[in-house]
Formats: sequence, structure tokens, C-alpha cells
Amino acid sequence: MGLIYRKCRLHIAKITVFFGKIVCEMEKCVSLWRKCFETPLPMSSHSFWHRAFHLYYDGFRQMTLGRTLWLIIAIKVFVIFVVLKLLFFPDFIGQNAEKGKEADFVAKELSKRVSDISE
Amino acid sequence: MIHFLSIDPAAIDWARAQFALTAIYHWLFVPLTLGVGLIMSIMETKYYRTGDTFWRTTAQFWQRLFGINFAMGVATGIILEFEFGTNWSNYSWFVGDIFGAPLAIEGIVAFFMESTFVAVMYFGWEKVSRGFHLASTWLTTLGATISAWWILVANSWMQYPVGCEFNPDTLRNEMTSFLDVALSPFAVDKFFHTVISSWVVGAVFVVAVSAWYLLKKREAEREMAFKSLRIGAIVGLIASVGAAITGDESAYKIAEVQPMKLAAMEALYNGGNEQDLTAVALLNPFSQPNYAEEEEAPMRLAIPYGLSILATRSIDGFVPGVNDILKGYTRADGRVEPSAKEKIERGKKAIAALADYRKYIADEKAADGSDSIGKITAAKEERLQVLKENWQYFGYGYIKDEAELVPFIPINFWAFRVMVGLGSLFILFFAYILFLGWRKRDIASMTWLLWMAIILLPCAYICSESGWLVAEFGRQPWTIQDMLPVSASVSDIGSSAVALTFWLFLLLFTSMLVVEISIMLKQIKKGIN
Repeated sequence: MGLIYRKCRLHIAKITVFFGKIVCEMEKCVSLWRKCFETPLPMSSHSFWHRAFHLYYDGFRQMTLGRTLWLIIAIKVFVIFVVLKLLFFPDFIGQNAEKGKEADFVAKELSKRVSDISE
Repeated sequence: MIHFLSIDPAAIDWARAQFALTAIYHWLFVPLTLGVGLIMSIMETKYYRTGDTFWRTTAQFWQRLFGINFAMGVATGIILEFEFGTNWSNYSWFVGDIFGAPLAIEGIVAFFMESTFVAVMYFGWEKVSRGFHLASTWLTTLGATISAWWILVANSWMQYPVGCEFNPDTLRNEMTSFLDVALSPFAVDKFFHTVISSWVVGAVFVVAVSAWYLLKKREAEREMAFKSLRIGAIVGLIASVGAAITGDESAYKIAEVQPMKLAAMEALYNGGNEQDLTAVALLNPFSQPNYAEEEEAPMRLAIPYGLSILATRSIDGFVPGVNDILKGYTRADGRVEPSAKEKIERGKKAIAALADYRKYIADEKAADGSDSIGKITAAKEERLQVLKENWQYFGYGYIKDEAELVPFIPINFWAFRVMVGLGSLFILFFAYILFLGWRKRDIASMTWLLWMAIILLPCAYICSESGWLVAEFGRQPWTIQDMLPVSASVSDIGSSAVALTFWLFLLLFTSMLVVEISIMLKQIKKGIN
């Protein structure tokens, strides 16, 4: 019984050490993140990709009027692409013609519109 | 055997109305993007050259208003493409291989070029060099302009289909020359006229907003208003004159390839040599005139020889009227233009030849199980020969009555006059503002002029939209000139479905327009801070 208890304690200790290392690594990552992205460093010292990322990251974070405009764009795009397109604007030929026979379908549609055809 | 129109006729009108509504709505945003884009780029160029932070603040102010308009206009054009697939499926299939290419390029150029550089324009003030930022602003404007090129190429092809060949097997028109389509002289004229007229709208907007600040005696914005007004007036005057010149070129091209449109624009029932240009006439705006029996529009005031000069570049040039086109006439170069009756007969032959050819191919396939599309046989060639000889008038085979070939004259007539009248007024208005500036008169004290500047803002939109009314109503009954009329282009769908989406769009667009105008007015009231 004592042996089992000692073995369990050993495993628990190993797991604790393991998670402790993960937390340390995460703290290092957060600290590195802050160092890279939140500490003002001269932009010219960073790579192009870093500067490009910051352009968008800082730009979107600092938006004021832009937030309202983006919200309106998001609502509009949702209404247009999800509501209108899916519910009201199906692909007419795609829905009504057999695959590979679209030309025959259109030919039939066009023939319906002729005023008279001599046979 | 006679087939009457077997689709819901109301579906045609509702589909047209829906497309018109969405196109008109989309065109509320595009001219301001192009016009204010140019002006904000000029202002930032002044900042770049002088280093004066006043110009930076001014450019940022107009860029803010540009951004509001840009955001509101996003995705409004995509609805038109949805309508092609649903309401105009025959049209989409018939010409999609050609029409789709410039539309796709327009979408790609708009998406990548504008969205890339507009981000640098807004986010990059403290992050990129002044030169790169200036380049980004100009490239944003250029991206929008190039995008406009491609949509105008697509529309121009509808007015003057070139660079294509019909494939009777796939029932599609196929592009034979991309350059013929992209650089069609019709497209070039339309592009310059449309873009330059958009600069007028932008200039009127800048002048109107500046005038409002002066009217309200806003001290913080006073200097910005004066200098913006000056730049707006310079751009406006150059653009107004440019629009007149390019408009003249466009009318000359229309006379060559769409004579019925010109006849409708002028309410010219009976043509001839030494034709006068109608300034105004008492034409009933609500009903089609009796062009067959009336000599000319009532109470017509005309400029002598004006139409012959406009249409043919000579005083005694022949300009056909509606009745001449319907009855047939001889062009100046000696070519005989057949009568409407003959075109309809030849169109029916082309349609019958196409049906006959496709039946022959289908029968061949059914008989021996093989696909004979690739094989060249005498029987196939004989049927194709009839189609080729009459292909030019294919669309006419769908016309039941010659009267269908005449667009609704009052809309063309009055929209053209509204456009030209307001365009001429803009030239005088901008010239007067610059004259006052040259004479160092205090514009801020001229309340009537400032109010006029504000009133001309909705007039600029009306002028711009009127141009599109002429372009599109004048092309009726064709979706593709001479090739496919609206009655053959529209899908066989119930009119109630189209009517429902029409009212949905009206509600959606009105709400969005109210939101945009309120955001825009709020930012204008906020001023430069």
C-alpha cells in the first residue's frame, strides 16, 4: 500500500513539474509577445513582414469611425451574400438544367421566345 | 406553327426595373469614389511638395469622407452579378464567356489593388514614408479607375459587340480577340466620358461641402474651405469641359453603331441631310410619341446643322430618323441598311437555321451514338452557312412588331437634355467661381453662390444618372445590340419573385442610403478635427 502511495506521489510530482514547465514557457511567450508587439521599437529595425503586420494591427486597433463602417460593411455583406444570394438569387440554369445539357436547356428557352417558326 | 411569348411578360419589366434600381444605386457611390479620389490625391500631393501640415489635415479630411462613401459602396455592384445568374440566365449563357472576363478582372483589380493601398492610405500616415503614402493614395484612386475601365468595357460590348464568334454547338459567343473587346473605340470613349464626368461629381461635392462651411462661418474650416473650393473648381472646370468633349465623341460613335439610340435621344422621327440639333421640344415625357405620323416633336427649338455636325462631322451629313431606320436607308458610305421587316425575316432564318443545325446534330448522335460535333460534313456546313449569312440579324428574329425596335423616346430625349443642360451649367458655375477668385472677390460673402453650390450637389448626381439612362434605355430592346433582345435574355421565372426582390432592394438600399448620408453629414459637421 505504501509502495503504491509513493508511486502515485511520484507521478503527481512529475505531472506537476510538467505543467509547471508549460506555464513557464507560456509566460515567456507572453513576455516575448509584449516585447515584440507592444513595446515601441523603431519600425525601421523590423522586417518588412513585421512592419506590414503592424500597419494593419495598429490601424485596426486605433480605428474609431472605421469600426462603424466595418460593422455596416459586415451587415451588408451578410445580407447580400447569405440572405439575398441564398434565398432569392439561385443559379437559374444550374437549378433547372441537367449537368452537361445546359446548352440544350438554353436552346429550348430561346425557342420559347420566338414569335413564329416555319416548319 | 406560331409560338406566342410563353414567359410571364411582367417578369421582363420587373427584371429590368430591378437591374435599373440596383445599377442606379451602385452608381451613387462610384462617381464620388473616382472624383473625390482624384481631389484628395491632389491635396496630398500638395502636402508632399510643400511639407505644409495644413494640406495633410485637409487631405485626411477628404479621405475620411472618401472612406465613408467607399465603405457604403462596397458590395453594391455584386448584386448586379447575382441578377445575371437568376433573372438574365439566357443572356449569361449566351454571352457570359465574353461579358464575364472583364467583370472578373474588374472584381480582381478592385479587390487587390484598391484594398491593398487603401489600407496604407488610412493606416500608414505614421508608418510609411511620405512618398510611399502619396503613391498609395494615387494607387487607390488609380485602382478604382482601372476597375471602372473593365466594367465599362463590359457595358460597351453590350452596345457594340465585337471580337466574338458564335458557337452553335455550345450556344455561346466566344471571344476571338481580347484586344478588340478591351480596346474597342466605343469602350475607350465611354471610359473617358464616364470617368471624367465622375470627376465633375467629385468636384461638385468638394465645392458644396466647402460652401457649407463658409455659409456656416466655421472659422476652423475656413482656410480649408477656401482652398478646397479652389481646387474643386479647377478640377470641376477641366472635367466639365472634358466631359463635353468626350460626350461629343461618344455621340459620334453612337451615330455610327446605334443610330436608333441617337434618333431616340433627339426625338428625330424623320431624318435627312443638314439635320438640326434639338435644344428643346414639348415632348410628352409619359407616352411614346406617334413618330410614324408626326413630322417632328412639337414646339421644337433647334440649332441649325447641329445634329449633322455632331453625328457625321459635316454640315450636310445624313442622319437617319426613327422611320428611316425602320424602313431602311442608305448610309453615307453607300452601305444599305435593310428595313426592320427584312432584318426580322433574316433573324427568323438565323434562328430556324440554328434550331435545324442543333436538331441535325442531336439526330446524328441519337442515330449512331457518336458525337458528330467535331466532324465536318456537307449537311452541317449547309446549315451553318444559312446561320452565318443571317447571324448579323439573329436578335431580330425575336421581334414580333417593328415598334419594339424603338426605345421609349421621352426618357432618352429628356435624360439627354438634363445631362447636357446640367453639364453646361457646371462649366459656367466653375468658371464663374474661378473668375471670382481671380478678381479676388470674397466668395464667403456671396450667400446666393454658396447656396447654389449646395443645390448643385444633387443636380450632379441627377446629371450623372441621366447619362446612364440614355445609355441603357437607348439600347432597348436589346441587351446585346442586335444580338439578343430583353425578351429572349430574361429567365423564365415568375414575376412575383422578381417583384419581391425589387421591393426588398428598395427597402435595403433606402435604409443604407439614409445611414450613409447621416454618417457623412455627421463627419462634415465634425469638420477637420
